[in-house]
Amino acid sequence: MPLMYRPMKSDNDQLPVCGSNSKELGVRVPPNENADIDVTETQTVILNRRGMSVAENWRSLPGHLIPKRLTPVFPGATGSNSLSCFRIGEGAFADCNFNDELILVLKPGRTSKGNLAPGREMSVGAFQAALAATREQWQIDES
Amino acid sequence: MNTMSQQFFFNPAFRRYLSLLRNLHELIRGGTDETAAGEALRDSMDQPAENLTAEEVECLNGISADFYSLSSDFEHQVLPKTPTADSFIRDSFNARNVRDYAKSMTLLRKAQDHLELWQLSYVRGSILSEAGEPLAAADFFLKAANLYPQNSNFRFMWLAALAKGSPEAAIAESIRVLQDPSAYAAKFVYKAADIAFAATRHMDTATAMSRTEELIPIFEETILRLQVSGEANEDPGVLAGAISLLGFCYEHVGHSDKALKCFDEGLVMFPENDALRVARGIHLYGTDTERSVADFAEATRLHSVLVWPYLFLAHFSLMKGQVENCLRYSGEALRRSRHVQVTADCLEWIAICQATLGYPPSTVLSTFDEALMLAPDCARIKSNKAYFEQYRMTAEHPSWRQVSTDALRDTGRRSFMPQAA
Repeated sequence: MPLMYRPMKSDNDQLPVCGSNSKELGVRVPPNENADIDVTETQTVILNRRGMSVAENWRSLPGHLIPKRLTPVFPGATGSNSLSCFRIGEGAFADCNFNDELILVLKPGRTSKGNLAPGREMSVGAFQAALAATREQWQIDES
Repeated sequence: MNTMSQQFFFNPAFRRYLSLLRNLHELIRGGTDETAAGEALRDSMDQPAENLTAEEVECLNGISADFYSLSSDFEHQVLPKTPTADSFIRDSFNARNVRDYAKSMTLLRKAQDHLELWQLSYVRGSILSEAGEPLAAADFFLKAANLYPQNSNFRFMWLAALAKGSPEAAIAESIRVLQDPSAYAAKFVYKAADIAFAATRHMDTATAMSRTEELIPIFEETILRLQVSGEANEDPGVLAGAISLLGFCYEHVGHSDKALKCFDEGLVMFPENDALRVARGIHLYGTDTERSVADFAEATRLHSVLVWPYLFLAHFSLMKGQVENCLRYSGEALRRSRHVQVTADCLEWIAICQATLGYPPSTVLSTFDEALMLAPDCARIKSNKAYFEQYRMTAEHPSWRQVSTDALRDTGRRSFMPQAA
């Protein structure tokens, strides 16, 4: 399982908030104008390498995704303080299977940014559930 | 050869992200970013961020850190200068000189602890201004002005940058300043009056006339204050600019004699000032064209960055049938033009010259088409293109439709600004 980072809203139990809004553990779905995936008329996820954004390291992200309380260590951080930088996995950041349901695919032309995408044809609901099922594997790592 | 970082400011996604980042920092400074509006703003940054390279992200994160220095409670301890810091500052200026603005900002950051915050703010503003980011530049110029109010140049630079990035805000600020001009440095009042005068171009005739009449005593007093305060010695271009604008104000309200006297007196003080030469040239074009053309020729000898001397000389040459000269001056004007219609006019005149000099019809038509792409509704250019097409068929000399002397002079009077900026 590759090591990856994602800034997300943190819940009271220090785990990510699941949902379909931005900066949650899940994807934004059409008709949201910032949708992370494309779907068919029957609400099946189109397999086109799109999915939930992740990064090789939180320090390579644009500052608006990094909570601004981290400015002492990341001076350009402008993200909401409701976010935390979460980490999951420990392997190399490259195209690979994440688990039985999900795959990591690198974004075109990028080596440090990717998407956690469906590994097979599935409904939007199943994809959101697969992402939510990883909730307890994420941990805050802002080092 | 261009370096990669020289291209950052040409990337629309980079510029878009920077613009949104500036807005986000405004919210952060105002303590209103942890709101639905703040979240929506951050969401809108996701899309441009997707189209940034890792190096562009690093550069923007650096600029974001710089934006934090605009906060009123930002603490900045200045360390003594060191040879290493001096070297970074030098390298930063060198990078700016070769238009590598991203690198210039990065190098300056490495020396930031060794510069006063007003110095740092001013240099950051200058780099961003040259990089074509006037609003971000304005933020830093204002910071410099607030930290070091004795230097009127910073507030002047702020208003100039604001005029480029947000003309409405600059006009509002200028109106506020001109309500009590004596409360501000003369140079700053000049810039405010310059902006207010430029704004009259978009008013109806009666309102513009009334507003221009109000500006005349302000320009007169400002010119006096610039001379008495010594500001004119530091920056003679400002005084020359104020004199030229006062002349145009007189001309606009129908005091042609006072306008000419103004330009003449200005040129006695500043014989090498191209803006004053151009101002008088425009004023005299069509009434004392010989003297006008001499002024324009002198302005070109002074390597004026303004489009007008070249444009008027191109027009004059075309009217006289001096097509080679027209072609040359039109080309020079084209390089300096920042007005769509002026650019279209230059291209049209180049097409006419090309036709007269026997260039291949495809070349001539292509130049006409370029002009029409810029000014698709211009009946004169359409008509001249049609004349040319007819001329090709009949081998008769086309009868070109010309821009009249009065019309060109009016364009010059309406659009003239002392500085190219």
